[in-house]
This record gives sequence, structure tokens and C-alpha cells, in this order.
Amino acid sequence: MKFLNHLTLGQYIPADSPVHRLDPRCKILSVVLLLAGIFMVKHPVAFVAWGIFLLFLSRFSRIPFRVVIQGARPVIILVLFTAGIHLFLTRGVILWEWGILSVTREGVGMAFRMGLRLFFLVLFAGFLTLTTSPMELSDGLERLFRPFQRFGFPAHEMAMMMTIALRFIPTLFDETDRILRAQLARGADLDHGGLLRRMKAFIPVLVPLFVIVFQRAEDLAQAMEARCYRGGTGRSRMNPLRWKRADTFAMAGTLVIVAVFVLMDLGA
Amino acid sequence: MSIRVDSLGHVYHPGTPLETKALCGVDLMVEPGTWVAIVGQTGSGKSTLAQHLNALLLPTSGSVEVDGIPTTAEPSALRMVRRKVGLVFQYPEHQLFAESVLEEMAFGPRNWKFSEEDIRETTTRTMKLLGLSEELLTRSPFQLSGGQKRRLCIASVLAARPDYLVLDEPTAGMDAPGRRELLGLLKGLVKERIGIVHITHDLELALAMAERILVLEKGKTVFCGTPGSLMDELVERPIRGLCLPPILELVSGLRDYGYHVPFTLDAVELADRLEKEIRT
Ligand SMILES: Nc1ncnc2c1ncn2[C@@H]1O[C@H](COP(=O)(O)OP(=O)(O)OP(=O)(O)O)[C@@H](O)[C@H]1O
Ligand SMILES: [Mg+2]
Repeated sequence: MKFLNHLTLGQYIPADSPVHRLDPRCKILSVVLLLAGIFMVKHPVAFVAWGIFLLFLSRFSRIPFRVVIQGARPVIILVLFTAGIHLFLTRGVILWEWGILSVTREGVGMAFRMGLRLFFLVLFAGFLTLTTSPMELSDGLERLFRPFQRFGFPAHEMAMMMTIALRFIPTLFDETDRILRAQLARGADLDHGGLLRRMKAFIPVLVPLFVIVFQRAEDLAQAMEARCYRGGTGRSRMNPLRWKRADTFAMAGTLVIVAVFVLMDLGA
Repeated sequence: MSIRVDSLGHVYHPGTPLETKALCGVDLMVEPGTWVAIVGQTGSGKSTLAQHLNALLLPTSGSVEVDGIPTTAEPSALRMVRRKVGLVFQYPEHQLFAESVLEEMAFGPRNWKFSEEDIRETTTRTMKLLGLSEELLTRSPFQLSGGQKRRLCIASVLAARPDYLVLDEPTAGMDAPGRRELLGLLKGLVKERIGIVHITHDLELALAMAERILVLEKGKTVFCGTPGSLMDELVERPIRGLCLPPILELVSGLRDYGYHVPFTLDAVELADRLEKEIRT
């Protein structure tokens, strides 16, 4: 029985694929481009085109499409919520009315568009973390932000913080799952009663979780200090990032695809 | 009346890249008033099996039945099974949450709708049983020492008066006297007709305490039987994933040298027999 889905947002799935082998900087920039492109989609046909591209990407990176979709499951509620808000709060030609609630033709369009946009956004962003290990990801970000260090931007610290946070998301899920099991074994009843009762029922899960989080933070800090971590200055790398020809191609490919999609959308 | 595990198989994350076959065709029987040990190397599936015994995990294939109730996703069956089978997790200290030791112990019984009076009675009884003194009752569980925390966790499960008790590595990280005390306590529970399932890395411990031993390796049963027959087999041929406890290693060596000493875990007995052997 699964109490929490382990394949959650931000889990790295190792595989030997062209996408996995790309330089993280290339992947980060590509994803930014793709996300910008998705924000501009309006036409239904364009959504289909993006969907096909998504399928293609999943094949190319050897990540089963099911896993890609699964990664977006946690945000389904957010997607539905956003769609709902747009559905009811957009003004226009009224299709259906009940009390203060009204659905307009424009609202239906907006709901679909915003919901799908958000959904695609998460799916594409998911590829970045599915195909890039947290280590590479933070390396890539650090390098990308390094120019801003001159203006006092803590590039290294930000990257390190992000790595740690990303690294610990799955761990915390596992931990929560274990505590949940332990309390269920003691007869905890988490899904009965009103909202207040249910929230109270989660205290036995949350308290140990907080204890573990703080403990882990302290352990990690100590382990890092014990290994002489003292920030980014003068830190050398075992595997320095190398921008290859494939990265240039991938970058150019993404640019072209996004440009074509956006132009297609504007034209339609 | 027993826990029956019938050709149990379990697969984690089926159909994903993280798919892991954790158990495959495991059979086990736990009667009330018996002590069953499950041994095996790290990753052999012991904890997975343990969680099947009180329906925290459900079988991928095969079945688990507790006193005739099969473990299924049906809520009432789940609660019945969890009520009957108490499970002490590996490193149970992580489940502590309450403001006081008393509240921690009362958590289980309260969930099972014991009356307030009954809760008071059962908590004081289990406190005594586990050698936790009365003045700890109002302390925060987080202020206890490691050993005390472990005992509190066991007490908090035991306070709900389960019919079967499954313990996952209960003695890990305990000192020798604490360990002996805990094992003695479990022996006492067996006398009260509670079925004990004891999961451990320590073969010697299992041989000394259990009536039946299940040896797992990579999710499969490699041995299931009495400690005596396990010892006989171990001496005949190595069992995958298990090595002889030092004292049996010694006996085995002595026998190779022609001394007729018995297979025993009792060092004093071994010494006596060896002395007799040497005299004659
Ligand atoms: N939640 C999980 N998700 C995926 N795989 C798991 C999970 N829990 C256990 N496994 C895998 O199942 C197998 C059996 O694990 P299990 O925890 O039952 O071993 P164990 O015998 O208890 O080991 P240990 O002695 O280290 O506690 C291992 O290969 C493990 O990697
Ligand atoms: Mg285990």
C-alpha cells in the first residue's frame, strides 16, 4: 500500500540517454526557453503540438511517459484550482448561471488554457530534475549565476541551498511515510472526522517529522564542516562542466522549436 | 488462531524504473505463545515481511491472514488486524511525538478506544513491565536517553495489549544488560500466550531464543525450521547469507579435531563437556 507517492516532483531517474548527457547549463537554459514558450501558447492546436513534443522528449530521454505524468500528480490540485478560478471569475458571454456563480464562454477558454499551461509547465520543468542529478543541477546554476557574484549575489550559497533542498525532498517523503506507518500501526486514524479532528490527527506525524528535520540539518552541517566545507571560494571540482557540441545543437534545436511553436500560435 | 503467511510476494513501485522485488514466495506461521525469529542480511526483506504482518503493506501476490482475517484494503479488516498485531519499527524512536511519556503510551490505547480507567491501568502496568520508573511519566519523551526511548516505544505498542508482537531489530544499539532484560520480558510475554515475531541480524540470539527460525535471503526463504535443525544444517553446509556464531565455529573446529562436543550456545556447558572429553 502506498501512503505517499515516492516518485514525486524532483526525483532524478538515472539513465543513459542523450538528454541525460547534456550539460546542465544547456538543460536549464532550454527549460527556461520552453517555459517561456508555454506561457505564450493560446491556440488549442498549439497545445497538441507541445504535447507531441513532450512525448518525443520522453522517448528521447528514456523516461517512461507514465513516470513523467506521475511527477505532476502533486500539482493536479493546483492546476484544477487555477482552472476553477478562471472558470468562474472571467467576465464575458454568460453560458450558465447559478446564484453568484456564473460560467462564461471566455471563462471556459481561460480555464482550459491556464490549466493546461500550468500542467505543461510542470511536466517540462519535471524533465530537468528527472534527467539531471541534483549535483549537476546546482553546478549548472552556480555557473550560470556566477557573473552576478560581482554584484554581491551569493551564487554558490544559493546553489548549495538548492541542492540540499532538492536532495532532501525524497528523503523527507520517505521519512514522513515511515512515521505515518508507525503511527498507523499504533491505530492512528487519519481519515475520519471533521477538518479539525483530521488536522489534530496529523500532530503525531508532524512532530516527529520536525524533530527529524532539525536533527538532519544539524547532522548535515556537522558533516559538511568535518569535511572542511567553507563556502565556494577556492573550491575546485572533480568533474568540471564542459560545454560540448551536442549542447550547442540542443540549445539551437530548442530555440528553433520554441520559435516555430510561438510563431505558429501567433499565426493561427 | 494464528498468523498465516502463504507464498507471499511483494514488489515495491511495480512498473516504474524503481521496481524492486522485495519478497517472493514466503511462507510463515505464527501461533499465539510462540517465538518466531526472522534472520537475514541487510536488504533481505525482513522489514517488508514485518509490515505485511499488520497490513501496513499488502501482498502483491499470495496472502496474509491474521486469526482468519485476510489483510486487504478494506478499512475494518485493516483496523482489526492492526489491533491484533503490534509492530515495533526498526529505530522506533522516530515515532515519538507526545508531550509526556504518559501521553505517548496512551496514544495506542486511546486510538483503540480503551476507557480512561483502562488506559491508566495498562500504562502503569507496561511501564513497570519495561522497567521505566514512575517519575518518568510526566517527562517529555525527547528528554529520555536512547535506551529509555527504545523501551518507551516498545511500551507504547505493548500498552494496547496486542495478541501478536512484531519487533524489528528491537535490540539494535542496546547494551548487554538492557538486551538481556528485554529478551527476558519477551519470554514472559510468550508465556502469556502472545505470539512474538523477532527480526534480527543476530543468528546467535535467534538460535537461543526462538522456537522457529525463518532465514531470508534476497526475499526468498532459504531455511524455515527449529533452531536445532538450523544448527545441524549450518554445520553440514553453509547457508547463503548466514555465518556461524563464534561459539558454533569453535564447536565445529573442536569436532574436526576429534572432540565429541555437542552443538550448543552455552559456553559453560561446552567447557564442561570439553573438560570431560580431555580427562577421558
Ligand atoms: N519503500 C521502499 N521502496 C522501494 N524499495 C524498498 C522500500 N523498502 C525496502 N525496499 C527494498 O526492498 C528490499 C528489502 O528491504 P527491507 O527493508 O525489507 O530489508 P531488511 O531485511 O529489513 O534490511 P535491514 O536488515 O537493512 O533492515 C531492499 O532491496 C530494499 O531496497
Ligand atoms: Mg529492516
